[in-house]
Amino acid sequence: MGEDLKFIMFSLGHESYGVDVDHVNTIERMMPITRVPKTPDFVKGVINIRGSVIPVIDLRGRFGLEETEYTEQTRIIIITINDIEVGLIVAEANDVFDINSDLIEPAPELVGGIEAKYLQGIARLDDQRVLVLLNLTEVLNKNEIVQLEEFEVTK
Amino acid sequence: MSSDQYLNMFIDEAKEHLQHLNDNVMKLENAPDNLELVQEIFRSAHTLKGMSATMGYDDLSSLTHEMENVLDLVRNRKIQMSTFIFDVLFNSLDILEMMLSDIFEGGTGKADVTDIVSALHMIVVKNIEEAHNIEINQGTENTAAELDEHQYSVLQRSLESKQVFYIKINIDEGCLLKVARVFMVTSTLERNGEIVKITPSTDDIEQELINNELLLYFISDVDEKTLKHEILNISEINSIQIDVVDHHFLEEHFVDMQQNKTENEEKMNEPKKQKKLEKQPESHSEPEKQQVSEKQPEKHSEPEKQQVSEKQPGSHFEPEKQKQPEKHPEKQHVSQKQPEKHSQPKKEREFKKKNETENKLKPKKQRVPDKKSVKTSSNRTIRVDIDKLDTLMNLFSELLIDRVRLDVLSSEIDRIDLTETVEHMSRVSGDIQNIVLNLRMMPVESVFNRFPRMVRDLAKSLNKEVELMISGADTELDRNVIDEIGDPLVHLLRNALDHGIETPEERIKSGKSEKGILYLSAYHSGNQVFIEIEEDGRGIDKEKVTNIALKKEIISKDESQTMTEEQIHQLIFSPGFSTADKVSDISGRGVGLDVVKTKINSLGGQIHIDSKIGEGTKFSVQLPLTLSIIPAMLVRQGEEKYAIPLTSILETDILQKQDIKIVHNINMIEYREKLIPILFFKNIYDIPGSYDPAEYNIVILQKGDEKLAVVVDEFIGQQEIVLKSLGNYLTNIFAISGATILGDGQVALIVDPNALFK
Repeated sequence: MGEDLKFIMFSLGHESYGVDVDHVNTIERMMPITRVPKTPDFVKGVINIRGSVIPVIDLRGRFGLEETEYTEQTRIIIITINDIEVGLIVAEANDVFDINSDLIEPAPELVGGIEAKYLQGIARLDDQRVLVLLNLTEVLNKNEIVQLEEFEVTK
Repeated sequence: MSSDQYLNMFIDEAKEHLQHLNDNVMKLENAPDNLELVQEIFRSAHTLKGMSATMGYDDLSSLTHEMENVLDLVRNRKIQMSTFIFDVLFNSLDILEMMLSDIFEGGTGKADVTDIVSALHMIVVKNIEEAHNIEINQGTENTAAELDEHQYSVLQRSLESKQVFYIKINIDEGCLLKVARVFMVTSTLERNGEIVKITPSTDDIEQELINNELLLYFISDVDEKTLKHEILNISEINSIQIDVVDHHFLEEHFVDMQQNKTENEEKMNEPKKQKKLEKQPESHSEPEKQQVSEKQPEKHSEPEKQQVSEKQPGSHFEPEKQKQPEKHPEKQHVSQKQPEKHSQPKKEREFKKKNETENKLKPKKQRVPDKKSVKTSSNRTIRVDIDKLDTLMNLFSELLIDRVRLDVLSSEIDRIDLTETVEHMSRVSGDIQNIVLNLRMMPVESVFNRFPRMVRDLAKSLNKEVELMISGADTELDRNVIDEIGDPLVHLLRNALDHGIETPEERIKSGKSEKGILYLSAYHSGNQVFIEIEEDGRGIDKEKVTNIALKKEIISKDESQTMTEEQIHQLIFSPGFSTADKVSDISGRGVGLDVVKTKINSLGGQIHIDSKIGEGTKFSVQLPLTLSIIPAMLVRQGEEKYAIPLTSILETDILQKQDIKIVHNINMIEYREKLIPILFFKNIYDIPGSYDPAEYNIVILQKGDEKLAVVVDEFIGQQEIVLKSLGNYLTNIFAISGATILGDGQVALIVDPNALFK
């Protein structure tokens, strides 16, 4: 029997995703964002969370999906990983789920248009729902931002 | 966790002591006869030794121990300081520093100290032999509190009804206010009984002629344990040893003393006898010791060990006591030295008898440092983790934002009592802002204080004579700036020593005094701090600089024709530039000055050079007072707000659209009879918006001699802004140096004006 892991569940539209609760600082409602020039499109800007200035990225945009309008349900999940503090814009954020590590399977090549390298795995819940678990380190990989920037310059 | 905490404390304090040692040894080098300094050095070395032994860094402590032995001889005038001793001392300090930085980096602090230890040891041994005779002559009159007839009879009588104790108290060597401690001890005792005899005498105590040991005869009803407990409650008391006195003890002691006196007079030169005598009074009291249970002191090296085990843990000075008796118990000369070391007051009194004139100076001399230490101890400080100050700063800036909101709200609601409350809060928070900012300020002294030593060593290795004069070391700077400014200053000082100041021969030839003078000064001006490094050396040879720059293709022939003096001087900051004909260890590899300039620019500072050939060079470094709160101009472009640091803004102006000229495809305007480029804010930062008036609001920015104009939609106003970083995710964003939070809680980005000059 594997250990129970806690995940925050959120959605980016249709699929449900999870991030390890240890990395999550807070979940905020949508708030005014200050645009930061000369950054990739998915970097929406910076926000003020209790005196700290934190960059915000649109997770759909980050995965190359079409960005959707923000609604009342839109949330910013503030996470910290490897000394990097970032806000992730998600369509909706739900509860904390306990998932037994035995239930986590390796991710297939592509889930909902997201490449496998951004995923830690997928978990099948009791009610037949599938939770896609994100590999945050890769999601926030800065080298990739640099590549994207170069791409934008050349284009 | 907890040992980590101690480790940090240890490293901090050890560094301080080392710095102190360095400073004072330097001072001593200039005034070798100053015994006060030797005392101070001794004290620092001793504390350092105790600390490192407590932390288990044996090499550190054994090295400091040997240093201490040498210093002890110096302060007791047994040896004269010589260049050799100074060199050895400096060497030891270097090794200590090495070990310490090893510890800091997580190492064990181990190092091969055998060479230096034996060098130190040599000094000690060689001189002990020389000092042998003198020492014996000075001999000790007693170790115990001797009794005169009156005291003897008082004690005899008291024995009938009460208990008499012979008390030996050891005061912490690091104690700054020994007199106060002694007073606390005596008053504690007097509450419990009567002090018959105290050594050193009350006169000596008042004159602050006390070492660490206090000997008392004490009559009391209270039992020994309570006494002990009460006295150990007084802080900085290392140990106490209480012996119960009976008739036998008294008799022996009284007689002893008589003998002692006669023998002293007759056979001053016989060391062994004296040694025996010193021990006698105590060894006779042995029978009683048994009653007293836990301890049976007086058997030379054992008592000290015994005390150690009884002492409160955490006392820093135990290891020494443990070590000394163990180390040299049999060596004749050392054991002679020891009693004297432990009972210094007596020695001082000896001096009194021996040499009246000297003695008159001595108490005074002694009191001076003590007064100083009184002063430092009243200057109470605590150490605070810089992270805590950062957090405080963050919290405070949030409070500032809320305050602005409250201001707005209260003016909307317009109720007198609310307005008054908000106004009062504003005043208080203004005061807090000052304090919070001040908390982060540190005197540049913490950077400057390592320079004298560095300059001395460098000058020596370059065979130059240099006097370093420092002024304004108390000038305060933000802690972040202090952390960063050290290395650039080291580079500049090295450069001044190596390239600026000439060798003594050259100086004499050009009619200067052989000693070069290096001024290092710091002062505030406006919102800036200036640090200047000035020497009276050879000055910068403009022709030579230009030629080298041409040769290394840093500038073109055309450029060299039109350059101003300042521009030529600035060439030495170009990467790869070096005027040195030969590469030396110290500088001249062409790395350094360009790094200095980059560093200072990155701190938001600037560096200027003034130089006259044959007369010297002055580097002046201009730095912002603080990196955390800066004055800025808020501007609006489209719907976005940006902050431009005021330090870069020359002025704001209004410009007619048609005044923009296009030169070589670049937009230029005429500004004070010169053409300067003009940029549009919306283009720099890709800000959407189609507003295009006939009159432009422009900001003139400057960087050194360069200027440029930037067009913005609107000036919002000047404001003190709190600098925030954008974090680790967004790094290296073009022309943005950070962010700040505005009164409405929104984030505004801070423009990096230097990036706009290309």
